[in-house]
Amino acid sequence: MAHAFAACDGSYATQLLPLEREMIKGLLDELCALLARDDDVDPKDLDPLAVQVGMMGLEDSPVHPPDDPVLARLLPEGYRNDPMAASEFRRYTDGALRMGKIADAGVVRAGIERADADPDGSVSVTDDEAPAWLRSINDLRLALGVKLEITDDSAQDLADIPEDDPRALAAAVYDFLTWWQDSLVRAIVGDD
Amino acid sequence: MSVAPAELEQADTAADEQTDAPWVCIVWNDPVNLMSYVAYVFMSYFHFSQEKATTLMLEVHNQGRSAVNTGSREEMERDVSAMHTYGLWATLEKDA
Repeated sequence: MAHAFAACDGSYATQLLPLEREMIKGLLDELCALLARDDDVDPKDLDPLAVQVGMMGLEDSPVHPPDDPVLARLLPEGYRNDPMAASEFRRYTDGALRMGKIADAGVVRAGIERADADPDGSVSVTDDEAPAWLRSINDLRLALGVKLEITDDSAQDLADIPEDDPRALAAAVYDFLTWWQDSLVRAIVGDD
Repeated sequence: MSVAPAELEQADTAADEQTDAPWVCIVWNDPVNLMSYVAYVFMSYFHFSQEKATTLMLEVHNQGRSAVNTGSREEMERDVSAMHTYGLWATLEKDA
């Protein structure tokens, strides 16, 4: 069983079992593959210069929220009740938001690989790395939350999912990531 | 970096001048984001005290939304964009 994060000399130490490390790396890879995909944009229509400067959208077409429900949650609308403004906001922020999330996932993956190389499966997360860890663990929880259809009143239902239910594994992983993320927040804020 | 296109800025200028209302960054309640994490984001990004961050987090949790910052449209677009990097569900709107 994984260890909660503990503050130690300005960094945060945790320990993970091999199975937990494989699971987290798998989820991070899945997340990055999803974020790198953009079904709305045909690559041959992209302006190479726009791609270089991080503006992935097309100049003259509106940018819609992603069809994929997980992507739609990870890349939400910036405006409610104003589709034009929401579209413009997405056009200028979507590329950087995706890149940032992919970079965060990369920081966590590199950390998990440090744990792989450690005989005890321990890893120390620096103060600089900690925000990326929190954001990326949160992204994984958001993605699982969409798949598990978590709504305000379903927290209890999640605990009641029987072991033979196809959602049971995802629910267990979600619970684990919730506990693990909370332990890192508490270690950072000093609220143990 | 402004995310408002020239056409929209022109269309909105008249309304802006009429009311001179600032824009607000709204954070919406979300069943996944942890209360501890949301308070951490408010402390970390906005540099709010733990007390203020907790008050705003509870407002999000209990009332479904909280206006966490006020400023120009460009500033609020920056804040909303930052909230999205943290996975918080945020939008901006003109202050009512």
